[in-house]
Amino acid sequence: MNWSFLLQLVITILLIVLGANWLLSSFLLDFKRDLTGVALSQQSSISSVRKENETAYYRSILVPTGFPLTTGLGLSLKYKIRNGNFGDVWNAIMEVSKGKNIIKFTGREKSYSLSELNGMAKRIFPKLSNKNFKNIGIANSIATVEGFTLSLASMMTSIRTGSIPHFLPAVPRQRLEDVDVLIIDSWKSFKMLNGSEDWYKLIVVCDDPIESLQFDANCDVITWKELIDGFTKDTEYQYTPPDDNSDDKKLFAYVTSPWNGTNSFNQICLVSNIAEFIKGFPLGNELNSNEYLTISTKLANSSASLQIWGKLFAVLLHGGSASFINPTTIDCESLQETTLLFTETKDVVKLIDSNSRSGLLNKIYLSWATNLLSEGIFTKIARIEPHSLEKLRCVYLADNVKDAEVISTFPEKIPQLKKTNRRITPSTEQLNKIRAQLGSRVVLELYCPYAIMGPVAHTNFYDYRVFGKSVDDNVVCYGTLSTTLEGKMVETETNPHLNIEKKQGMLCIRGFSIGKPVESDRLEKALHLAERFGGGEGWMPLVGVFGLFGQDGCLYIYNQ
Amino acid sequence: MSFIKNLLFGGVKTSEDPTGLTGNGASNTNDSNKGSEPVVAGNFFPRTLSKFNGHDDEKIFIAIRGKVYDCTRGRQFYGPSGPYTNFAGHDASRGLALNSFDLDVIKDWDQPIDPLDDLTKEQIDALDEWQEHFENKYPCIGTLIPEPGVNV
Repeated sequence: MNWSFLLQLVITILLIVLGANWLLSSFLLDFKRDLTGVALSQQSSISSVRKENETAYYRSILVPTGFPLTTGLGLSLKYKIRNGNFGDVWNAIMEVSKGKNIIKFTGREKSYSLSELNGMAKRIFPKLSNKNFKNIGIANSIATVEGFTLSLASMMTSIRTGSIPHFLPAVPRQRLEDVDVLIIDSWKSFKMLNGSEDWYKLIVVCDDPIESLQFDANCDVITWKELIDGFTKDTEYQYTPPDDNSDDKKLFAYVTSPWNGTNSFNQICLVSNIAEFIKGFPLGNELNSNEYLTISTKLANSSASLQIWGKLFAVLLHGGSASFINPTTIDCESLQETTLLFTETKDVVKLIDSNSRSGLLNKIYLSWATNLLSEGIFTKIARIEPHSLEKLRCVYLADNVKDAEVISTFPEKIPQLKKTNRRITPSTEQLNKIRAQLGSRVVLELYCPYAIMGPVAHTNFYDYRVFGKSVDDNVVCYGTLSTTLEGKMVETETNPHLNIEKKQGMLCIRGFSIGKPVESDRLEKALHLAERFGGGEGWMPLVGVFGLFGQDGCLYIYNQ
Repeated sequence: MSFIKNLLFGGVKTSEDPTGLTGNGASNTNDSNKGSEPVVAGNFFPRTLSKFNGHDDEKIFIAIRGKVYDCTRGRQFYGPSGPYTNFAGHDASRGLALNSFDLDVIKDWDQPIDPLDDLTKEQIDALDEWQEHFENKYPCIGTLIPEPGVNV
């Protein structure tokens, strides 16, 4: 055996491997990356000045400091710009789609075209636009055709007659001021009203009509089927906008949380949310007419539905379609048409677990895919269901702040941060596995339910970074703030260990998607708290949400 | 070797820590980053204000009647090659009142703060208008105060 030959062979192989690695990492990988390292390390625009006990103001790089935040759709109003409202949105949706695109609801085999849904809503509208009705209480899921069309009709009244949709977490146990119409899901719910039906002028039951209905109520009771009786398909929604910017001040909806706090949301919240979602897509990956958005029904439950309208209307505005899916029955087969999926992490993890394949080849594919993703290169090679998930291009994972109830009560005493390394949210490594196995982008979104419309922050479409265990054990990366908001960290007396110099503290936000407390005592507490932490300049402290802004401009929230 | 090693042994590339929590990676108070760290709002002496002229520091602060404004985004006007570059890092009150951009209406940092008590009504009105413009366009970030032993 010639030792020098063996040595030469080993050295040659080593040089080839080293050369290949150098070639790969220096040239090929750099050319294939979706986003450069520089772009990923500068995702926020940061103000040049800060106050002593707080950080600078942070906002998405898409809305640099000095430029306006996303406020709406930028429609033309003579020589000025107006933000628009639901009327403009639905008018444009009907124009774009000609009523052809569809929405599929839970519990129904049939898909409904927008012209049918529009026809139904317009048929319901006259009954709801009765001058005596103030607000329309909706205690029904938006994922049903009944709940959806009634919500649509209520939104139509909000811009025409001023009757505002009021999304409820359940049938109210105590009287809600100004709610004159109640929408419920069944006769069973109606029977459980126990005399509270007298609080309303009209009750709409989303159930089949029954003949021998025995009740002594002073209110009018009608079923959804009776309301839509005689509707015709309608491909138009005529809306003449006002010749001023008064839309911004008009209300879009009231939302009551399960802990009985009610917030009001303006039309500007809706349109800025739609615009924000559209802006989040990078060049070459914009929304298009082939879009099919699938939404988990859990996110469409009456008062929780606040978060779905922005995405849904944005997709419909581009001529796309949508469907609602029960998270318990989610499988690859049911996602065949889906291009965008909006759900919670646990549903996606369950989907992957029930479909992932073992075997050496699949392990190699997965290793290759996660590796490339961690280098910033997107690949579909490890997709669990190449056929069913072929169209899926982005998954939105909804993650809620730890204690939304505390945030909405505006407490005087700020809680202490209790750090933990238990994570409910997937780590960056797990997120990359999800990307690899679904063969789609994954955007992690942070929500503050019932208080803020749309996400507070979300990760970049192209951000596939994997952090070390020490980072993932401490914090969750939520990317940059929504383009409708700007944020800062503030010092709190109860958490002196959070160093404002290191950009750590409690998160405060301000912008165009924040709900306003309706009850006078909550409003007073909110204003007092805002004064304390933001000098009263419109800042909303997210009490109990502790985190930091990273060198990359991203928002990192402590695991707690 | 990292890419091929990760490929063969199932690891992934981990990005630098951007949080500064672990002591490695990009620390959150990086010295190389000090230049771009936000300035703490509050009181400014003419001397501390003078370095924010868009040249020594990329930020541009201008004082008007004791209020300091962050005019960094008006760089094309107040930056090193802008028409009003003399105002950057200084008290611009007299210059704006007189509608003059010459150096002789601007005081150096070691001189007393201009009391503006010799301005006519027209000049005060002009200054009011300018101040309103600044209030609407640029964030007010602090107050200009005399430095003990210097601006006396």
